Amino acid sequence: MLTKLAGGRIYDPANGHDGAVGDLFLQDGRIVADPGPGAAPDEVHDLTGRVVMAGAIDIHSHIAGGKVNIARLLMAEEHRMAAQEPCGCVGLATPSTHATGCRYAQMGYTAAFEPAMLPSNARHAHLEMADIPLIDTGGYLVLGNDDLLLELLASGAGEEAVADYVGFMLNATRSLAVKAVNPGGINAFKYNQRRLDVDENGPFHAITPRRILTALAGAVQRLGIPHPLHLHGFNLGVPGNVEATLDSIVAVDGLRLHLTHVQFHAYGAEGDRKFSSAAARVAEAVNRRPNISVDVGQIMFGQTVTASADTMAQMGNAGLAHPKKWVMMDIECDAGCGVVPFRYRDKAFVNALQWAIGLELFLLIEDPWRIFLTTDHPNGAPFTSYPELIRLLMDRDHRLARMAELHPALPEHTILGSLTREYSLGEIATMTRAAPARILGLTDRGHLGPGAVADITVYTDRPDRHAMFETPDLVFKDGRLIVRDGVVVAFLQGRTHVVEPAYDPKIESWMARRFDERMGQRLTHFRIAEEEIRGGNGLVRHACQPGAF
Amino acid sequence: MSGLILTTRDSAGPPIDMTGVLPDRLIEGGREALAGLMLVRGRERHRLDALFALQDGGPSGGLVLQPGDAVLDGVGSGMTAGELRVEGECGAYAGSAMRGGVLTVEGNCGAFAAAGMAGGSLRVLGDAGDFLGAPLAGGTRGMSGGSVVVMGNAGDRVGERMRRGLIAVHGRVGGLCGARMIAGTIVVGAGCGPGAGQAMRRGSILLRRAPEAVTPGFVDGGMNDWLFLDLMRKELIDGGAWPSGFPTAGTRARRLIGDRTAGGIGEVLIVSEA
Repeated sequence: MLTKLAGGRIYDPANGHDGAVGDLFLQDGRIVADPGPGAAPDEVHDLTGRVVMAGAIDIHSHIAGGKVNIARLLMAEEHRMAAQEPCGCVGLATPSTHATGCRYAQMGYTAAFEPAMLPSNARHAHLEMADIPLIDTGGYLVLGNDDLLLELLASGAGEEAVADYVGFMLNATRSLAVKAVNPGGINAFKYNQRRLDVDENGPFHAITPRRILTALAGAVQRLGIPHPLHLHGFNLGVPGNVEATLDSIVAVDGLRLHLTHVQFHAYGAEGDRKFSSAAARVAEAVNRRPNISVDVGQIMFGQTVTASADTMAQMGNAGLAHPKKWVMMDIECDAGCGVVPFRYRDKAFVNALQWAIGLELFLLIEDPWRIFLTTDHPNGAPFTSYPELIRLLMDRDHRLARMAELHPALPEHTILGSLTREYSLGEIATMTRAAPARILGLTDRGHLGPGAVADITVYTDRPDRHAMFETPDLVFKDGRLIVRDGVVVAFLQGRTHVVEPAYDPKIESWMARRFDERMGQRLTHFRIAEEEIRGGNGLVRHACQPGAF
Repeated sequence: MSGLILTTRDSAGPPIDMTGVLPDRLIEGGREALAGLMLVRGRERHRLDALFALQDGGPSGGLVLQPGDAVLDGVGSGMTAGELRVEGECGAYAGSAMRGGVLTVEGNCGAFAAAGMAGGSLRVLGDAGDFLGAPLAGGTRGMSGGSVVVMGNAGDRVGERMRRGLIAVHGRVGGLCGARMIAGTIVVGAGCGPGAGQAMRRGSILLRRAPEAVTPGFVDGGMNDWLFLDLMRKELIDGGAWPSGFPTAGTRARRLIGDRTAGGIGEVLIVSEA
C-alpha cells in the first residue's frame, strides 16, 4: 500500500530539511522515494501547513526492569484505580507497560530506551519491554560494579580481555549499549562505604573508579559499539560534584563519552547556600570537546519517584523520601537498586535551582546534536512532562514567567534570566529525533529519507508549544497510523534494538567457572536466546564498527 | 427519603467492583444517579441497573445489597455517611478507606476489609480475611480511625501498621496481629497466631489468653490492676465489641511490653478474671 503525506513542512535535520514544504511516500512500513506522477497512492493525507518530523526517540527513560517494577510496587497508590481503567493506563511516575507505550505514542514518540538493565535482570527487562505496545525499545547494560569485571581489572587483564568480556555480556543480554553507574561506587557501598572518589581504591578489589571508567570506555571503542559509554557519573546530587564530572571528561582522554542526566552532576558548592549552578563550566567543557555528549535529566515540579542502580546516592537521598518510604537492595554480584519517592517543590530553593541548572545546560550547550531532551524518567519527572519542557526551551517569555513563580532567591543564583536563546523547531527535531538515532547507531530511524522506517509524527504548528507537542495530529509507526488527534487508534508491537559485537569466545570458559562459583544461574542459562525476545520476531541488529569511532 | 435495595441479577461471573456505590451518592443524587453509575465487572463496564435490580426499601437514605452468590469487591469503599447493609457475603476491600457512616456485612468478608479506614463503623457478622484494618497497598499507615467489630474470626495481619481506632474480633485471629502497629486498640476474643505485636511501637492488643508464642522482643510487665479496663469495658460493651469470653468485672491483666526490638512501648494485655 502506498501512502502519501502531502504538502507538510518537513523538519528532517539528518537530511538537511528545515521546514521546506514537500511530500513523503510510505510503502511497506518504510519511506520511499517519490514514485513519480504515474503512481496512484492508496491513501493521501493532506498536511498543508502542518509540521512533519520523524518519530521522536527517547534515549534515556527507565521504562522496564527490576527497579521500575519495584517502584510500581512501592507506589502502589498510583495503581489503585486500575480496575476503573479498562485499558490499564494507570500510573503517572510509574506507568504500567501499557500506559508507557500509549503515552509515548500519544506524544509522537516511537522509541524509548531503558538505560539501566542489570545483567542478571536482563531477561525480565526484555519481557517487560516486549509488553510495551507501540514503541521500539532496547536496553543499555549496566557494567562497572559487576564482580567479574572488577576481578578482571584487578588481575591486571589487558584491554582485549575486558573488551571480550563486555562483548560477551552485550551479546548474552541482548543490549544496545554499555552504561556505567557510579563505577566502583555501588560495589564499595556493599562494603559499607558511603563515598568513593574518582582516584580512591575500592575496598575489595583495590581499583579506582577512574580505571573502571577508562577500561569500559576503551572496550566500547574497541568493540566499535555505536553508542559511546553511557555514564551515570560520580556523587550524584551532591553539591560540588561538578569537579568529578569534569574529571570524568578528562579521564576518558579523547574517547567518546555520554554523560547522562548531567543536570544532577553539575552542582557547585559556592554561595551563601553552599549550593550553586556549575552548568556554565560543564557546558564550556562539552562545547570544547566533540567526543562528549550529554542528556540533561531535567527536573520538573511535582510528585515522582527516583529509581536508580546507584545505591550509594539513593541511600543518601532516602531521608528526603516523600511519601516516607523507600527500598534499597543488592542485585546479585551486578549492582544495586534504590527507589525513593520524591516531590520536587517549586518554592524550595534547591529544587528551583536544579530546574534552572537543567535549563541552563540546555541553553548553554550549543550543538543540538550532542545534547538530548530527557527528564531521566521518572527521576527528574515523568516523561509526560516533555511538552512543557519543550515549551520552556522554545519560549523565553514563558520561561521567565515560570521563573518568576519560583523561590524568590533563585534569580540571584542563576544566569537563566539573561539567556535569550530559544530553540527552533529544527533544533527540537535534531535533539529529539536525528541526534538520538545517530548516537545510538539507528541508521534507519530518526530521519525521513528514502529507506528510513516510516515512524512519523505530524503536528499543527501552534504558538503554544506545550499544546503542540502534547497532542500531535497524526503518528505513524512502521507506516501504520497509530495515533490520531492524540488518541491511540491502532495497536502494534515495536522492535528491540541490539548490537552484537564480535569477541573472542575463549573468555566464556573463565566466565562459566565464575558463574558456577558465585551466581544464581549458570552461564548457559544467563544467555538470552533470540527466540526469547518478542517471540523471535523482534530483534533489530545494529552494526558495530571496531576502530571507527 | 426511602432507601434502596440492590439485588444482583446474575450471580455467575467475575467479581463486581462496587467502588462508588454508596449511600452518599443516593442522598446527593437520588435513585437515578445511582442507577446510571458505571461499574466494572471483569474486563467490562456496565450500568449499575444492568447488574442489579433496584427496589425501594431498607433504612431511610440507606442502601441494602443482596449479592446472592456474586462476589462484590470494594463494598462501601470510601464511604463518608449513611448506612449500607450487605445481606450476604462481601469480596475484598469492604469498607476500605471508609471515612464515616455505618457498614454492616451479614456474612463473611474478604481481605483488606477496613484497610486504610479513617472513620465510621464496620460490623461483620461472619469472618473477615487477611489485612483487616491494614494499610492499602502503597500506604504507610493502616486504619487511622473508626471502629471495626467482627463477630467471627479474622485472618493474618489484623491491624497492621494501625494508627488509631478500634478493631474487635470476637473469634480467633491469624498471625502477626498488630504487626508494626503505631497506635490504636485491638481486642481478640479467642486466641491469636504467632507474632502478635511484632515491631509494634505503641497501642494495645487485648487478649483473653497468652498468645501461643509470645513475640520475641516483648518483656513481661507483670500482673497488675488497670483502672482504665473498667472504663474501656463499659465503652466496648456498649459498642458490642467486648468478646463474650472476656470477664465482665475486674481490672486484672498481665502486661507484655514491646516490641523492644523496634523501640516500642506498646502492650499486649492478657485480661484475667478478677
